[in-house]
Amino acid sequence: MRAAIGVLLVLMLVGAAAPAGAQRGDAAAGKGVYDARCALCHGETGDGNGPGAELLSPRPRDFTKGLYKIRSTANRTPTDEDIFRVITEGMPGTSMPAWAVLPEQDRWNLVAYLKTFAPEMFKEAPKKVELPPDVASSDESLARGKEMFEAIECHKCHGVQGRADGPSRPELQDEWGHFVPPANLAQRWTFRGGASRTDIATRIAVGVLGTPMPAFLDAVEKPEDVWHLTNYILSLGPGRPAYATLVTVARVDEAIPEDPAAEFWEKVTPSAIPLMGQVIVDPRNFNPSITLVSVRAVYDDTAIAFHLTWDDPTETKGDGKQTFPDAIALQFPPTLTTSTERPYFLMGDGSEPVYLLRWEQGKGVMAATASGPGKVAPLEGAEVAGAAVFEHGRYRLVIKRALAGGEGRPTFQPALFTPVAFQAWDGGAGETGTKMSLTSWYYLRLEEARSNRRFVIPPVVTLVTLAAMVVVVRAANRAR
Amino acid sequence: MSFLRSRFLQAVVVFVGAFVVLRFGIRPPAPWSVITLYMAIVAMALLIFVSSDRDSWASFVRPIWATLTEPRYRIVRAVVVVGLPLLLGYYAYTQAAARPQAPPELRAVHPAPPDSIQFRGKDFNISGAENPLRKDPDAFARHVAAGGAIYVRNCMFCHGDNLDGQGHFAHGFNPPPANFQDPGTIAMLQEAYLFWRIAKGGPGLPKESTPWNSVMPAWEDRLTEEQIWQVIMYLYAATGQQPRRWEATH
Repeated sequence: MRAAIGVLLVLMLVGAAAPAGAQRGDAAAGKGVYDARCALCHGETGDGNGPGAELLSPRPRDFTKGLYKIRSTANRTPTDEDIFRVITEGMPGTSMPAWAVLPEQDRWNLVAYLKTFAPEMFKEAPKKVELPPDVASSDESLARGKEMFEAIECHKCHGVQGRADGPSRPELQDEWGHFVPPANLAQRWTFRGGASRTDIATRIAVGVLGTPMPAFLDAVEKPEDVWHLTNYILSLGPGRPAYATLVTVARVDEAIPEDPAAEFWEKVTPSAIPLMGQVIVDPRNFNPSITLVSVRAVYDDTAIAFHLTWDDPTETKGDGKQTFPDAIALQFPPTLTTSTERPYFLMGDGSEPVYLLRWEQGKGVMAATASGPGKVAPLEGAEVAGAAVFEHGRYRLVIKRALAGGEGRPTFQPALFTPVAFQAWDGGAGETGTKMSLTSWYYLRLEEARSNRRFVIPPVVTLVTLAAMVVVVRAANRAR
Repeated sequence: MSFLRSRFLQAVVVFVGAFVVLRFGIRPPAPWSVITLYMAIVAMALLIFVSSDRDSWASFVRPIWATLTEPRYRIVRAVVVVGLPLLLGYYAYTQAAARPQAPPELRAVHPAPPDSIQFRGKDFNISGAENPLRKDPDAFARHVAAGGAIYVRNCMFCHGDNLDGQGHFAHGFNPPPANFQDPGTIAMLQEAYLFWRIAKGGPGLPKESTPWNSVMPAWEDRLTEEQIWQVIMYLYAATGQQPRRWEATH
């Protein structure tokens, strides 16, 4: 009897240990999935050199080195769950998509197969990192986090405001000798390993393997500083931008300042517009540098003004060979009508040109026309005013123009859905001409002076219903 | 559990239940106009049900009548008499203060293809055309592999690794990139139709398909005839879809 219980106990212990020790996936089955789904980027031999690889930045992982960026372990071996999670959720900000569409068993099989590319790296058992107890955010925690941010020199790479503009940025390389930009801490929806508190604290604690991001758990003064840093990083930007489909141009009575840093602009609601790489005409831009522009717009009796905010790690005038002037543009049809027809979104064409409000580093703001990709010609006359400021990896710009246009220049009118598109160039990243990021057509709309309807109708509705209710109650009581 | 026998409560439970099912039980969500229509039908059916006989109707009306008249329900009555108008007033405010939305982009999704196109300066028949690469079954795997490499270097950025229209640039564009996994796209089109769409892209669309807003490049500038047929073979092979056949003409 005692022996039977003993055997049972041993069996239970083995059973409990099984998830950690045993393979949940089958490597041979994983190969089939890998060849069909992964090999085009990661290569059939797992060396990260598939046919798609050279166009991607960051490049697809080379599994033969067995270095995994995103792991929850204090040593170099990731857990199976770490690899499984990256397959399932993808890596935000990279070309690695979330493969949650694959059956779960396929994903476990993939985990098993990936490990066979570098078996020696998995000889050592993964050692889960132990994070200190979570510390909730508070003013003191944020102050401590900021202090630590400077003490362990996060700003050297990530920049003072976390916008990936630190002085060491140009020298950063991964294990394979490819440039690897520091994370933009103000855009945490692009964090490769996720943006939850635990994700961020884990990255700080154990680092990002194969990149210059070291493990900081032993570098901070006290282990809980990891959480203070996490709280500070979470305070640097929004969780996820709410992308706009319509840019509303607010009507204002006060004077519109041309200084982009003026407090006036803080009060205007921004619209977040996502920018994508231009991949239609050569040179194409598969890895655009500027992926988000925040647009504020106002108008008064005579003028319309746009306030644009976007992240750019370097303020660049350009040498004309490797680097070029930073620039941004708003694009409009040259005449505004109620028709839904518009010029071609990519800078128009020969028969239907577009009108541009453009700013370029070193040249300032200007009006221009374009009759095809890269075919930009400045317009005569100084009809545009404005200025840009650059600070800690971020541009802010005001472009202001009269509401009334003229030949080839749109006249902005209230309540008209006005097509608008955006284009941006990070000259420091070699973007110029058609190597840019852009949007297709969006709408902007000059808000008409709001009627008082919204203050009149609801009280009327309320009073009428109230009267009806009172009548019903009284009638009911009388009938009784 | 006697309150469960109250007609009024039964009616309320059925009404709320129907709303929950219509609002949250249907994916993708039904538009409000449809929900309103169905809820009106539910309300009418409930009225017919509760008024089916005299006792039922009395049981339905009793709690309403009691709330309106009985002294012990004075507080409930006051809450209803004041609360309901306030609720309606708030609804009126949300409607009156609503801000305009971007107008919908109406467009033809699969416009009729032309009979023939100019491909790199030569006449190219679309109507009735078959994929010539399928004639040699031995070369099938080679063409699909070549198509995959073309796809990952050109198409993936918008149409996605999984061919589901969820590439990394997808969320920035309207109209969104086609989802090839969806049975409403390549499965209902002939290969020659795809050839036309790939070769001519957004600029080659007819006006009803808003060519000025489609970011689909005209790939004839970059891909050869054979490469386009190869990438088409990859699309069908990777998604497991079958191309539509041309209807036989007599």
